[in-house]
Amino acid sequence: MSIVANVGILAFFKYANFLLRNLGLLVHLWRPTAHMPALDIILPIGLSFHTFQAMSYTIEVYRGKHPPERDFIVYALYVMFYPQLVAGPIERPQNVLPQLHRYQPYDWNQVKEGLARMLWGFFKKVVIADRIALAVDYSFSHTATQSSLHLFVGAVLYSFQIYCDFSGYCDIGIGAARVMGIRLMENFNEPYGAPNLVQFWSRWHISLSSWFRDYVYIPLGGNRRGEVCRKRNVMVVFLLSGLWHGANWTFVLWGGLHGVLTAFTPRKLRGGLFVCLNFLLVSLLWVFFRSPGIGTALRYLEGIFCFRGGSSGWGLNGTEMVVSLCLIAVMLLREHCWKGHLIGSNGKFACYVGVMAVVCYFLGVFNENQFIYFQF
Amino acid sequence: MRKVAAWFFIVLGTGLMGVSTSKILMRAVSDRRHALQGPFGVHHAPTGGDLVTMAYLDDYSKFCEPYGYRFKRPVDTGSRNIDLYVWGDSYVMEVPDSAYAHIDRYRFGRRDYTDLHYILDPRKRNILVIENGERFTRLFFKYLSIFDQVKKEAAPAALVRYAGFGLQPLFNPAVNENLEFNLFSYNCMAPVRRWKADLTYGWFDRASGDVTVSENGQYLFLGQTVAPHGPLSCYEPIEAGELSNILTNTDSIYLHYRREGFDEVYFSLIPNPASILQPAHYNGLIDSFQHYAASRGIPVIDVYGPFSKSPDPSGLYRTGDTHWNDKGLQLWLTLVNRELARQSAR
Repeated sequence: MSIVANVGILAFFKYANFLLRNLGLLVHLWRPTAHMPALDIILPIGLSFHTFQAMSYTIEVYRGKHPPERDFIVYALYVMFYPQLVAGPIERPQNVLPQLHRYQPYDWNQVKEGLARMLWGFFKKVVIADRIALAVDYSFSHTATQSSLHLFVGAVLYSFQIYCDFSGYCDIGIGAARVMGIRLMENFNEPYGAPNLVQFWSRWHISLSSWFRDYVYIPLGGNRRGEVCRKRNVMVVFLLSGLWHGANWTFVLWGGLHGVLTAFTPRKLRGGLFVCLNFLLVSLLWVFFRSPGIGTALRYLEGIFCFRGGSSGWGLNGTEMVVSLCLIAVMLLREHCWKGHLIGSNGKFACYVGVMAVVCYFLGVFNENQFIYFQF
Repeated sequence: MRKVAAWFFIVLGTGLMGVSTSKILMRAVSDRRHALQGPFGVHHAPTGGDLVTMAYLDDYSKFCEPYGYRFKRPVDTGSRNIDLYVWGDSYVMEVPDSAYAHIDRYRFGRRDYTDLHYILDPRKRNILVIENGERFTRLFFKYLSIFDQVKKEAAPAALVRYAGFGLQPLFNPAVNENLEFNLFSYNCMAPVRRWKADLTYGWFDRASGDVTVSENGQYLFLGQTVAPHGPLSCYEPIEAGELSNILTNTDSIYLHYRREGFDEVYFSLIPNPASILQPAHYNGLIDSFQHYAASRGIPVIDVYGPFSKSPDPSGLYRTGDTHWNDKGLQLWLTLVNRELARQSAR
């Protein structure tokens, strides 16, 4: 009942119009004057995330891996825990519910760690992601006139934009929870350092990947029933994952392509060369994710691969382009070399907060760009 | 001490959120703050243009263009037999009644600010002009909230169903903007904002905040109007479903006010500066709207046509403002007065 209710809510709010639109296209084939009405539905914020979180509770209780929660307030807090309500990470009851029952004493170190992480998230969002967004938006809105090189750079920059945007949100959410004494799961682990797609998906949006692994892939048989079944299961998971992201064929195709490539490429690729190749592959696939329609995405990719000349604007001036690349390098280096966020000394913490606040304010781009994953 | 601090922040946060989500409270705070001159007043540079104010540029002389509306009495050759009601926005709010031809009585209502109440006089021609800045068009036509704001004087609250069960005035959807206004928009913070704006403009050739410099570097645009997505954008392609909803609601509005007794109801969409001055990616909303209106016999006051065909469209808008200049406004007034003359002669 619970699963049906959750999936039903998700299906109605998120996919009803998608279904009607596609039905309308089918009906249109034999009756061109027919008009399929669209429902005026407002998508509840973070719906995909909290329905999945609620479902993980139901499944874990059903499987006997977690006792039923008797306190409705605690359960409601688990489903609607505000720091991660809108865009994850999608938590599991085993991790969060016991923490919600425990008394959380005030701990200055936790507060410092949480605030420092939140600032890092803000930095990634307003200084890097929203700055790169200016170049990416320019590329995606000038597809017909831009040169192949510019389109390619636009696609690569989008990879960093979506990473900084989404992981920035997660940093803010995890940091806010940490201030309150709650430790949420990590959602990213240097995904662009992965040498193949299997590794990539174990480092990108970890909470969603593991959700599909535990509740779809393994129950379908995982890799226990031979290679053909494994490939089928991988495809099912990625198609569902694509559809989860949004009610649009671009997401389904994006998920499907990831599924095909994950199922059919070797899993033992290692080394710097494969890291680069994998990054390029992921970047090209993001084009489907970013584009409003499949046609637009194909035109964008065609623009990249026809090796043409064209207009040379970046959407950013030269100085800002260099600044953006430097900021990306700083971000990658920092996340590779220093994964923690706790600064022991109060003096150093104060300096860090001061510097980050000044950098975020003076270098931040405040043009009301929503987090990309808010739409899901 | 820790408890006192905690309660202080809880009360402050709740208060800020409460004020920022209420239309009534926000209006009161905004009016009071705009009247203040000191450090807690609102930064404002009225002579330069609204976008110049928003951009916080120190060196904005290039974009500054003062207000220059000059209203003159039109030549009335016929009788003054029209009661004119205009439901509009800041584009036309300063037009005095003396600038309209053939009118006996004039009432103006400003969307989101002042309701427009009408008493139709059967001895005269009753004309309603619904004017909309293009950037608000998609939001305006999404719902039929106009029925709550433009209605018969002393009309009972019969159409409350369009206003969220009458609770609409309590809630303000522009929470982000209001929070920013309440937290950061103070005269005392203006110098820091100017540093940032100057740095962004000097280093990156961009205006900061929600202001964008045009591709030719000659104008400021409201960022949301040239963003690739968003309800205020004139570049985001409009899906068939949304357009169909806009047009259906246009029909409903037209029929509603004609049934109420208006002799004619005109629609007038004022193009965003970017739709005219940087039209390469324009989504064509006004064109679609006007084509539909023409096919349904709904009259429009079309400024998009003359604006887009103007040999010097740059002379129609203020360079650092979201609005037109005197020339643009005069063109609109000429078209309105031409329609009023036709109506008066009937």
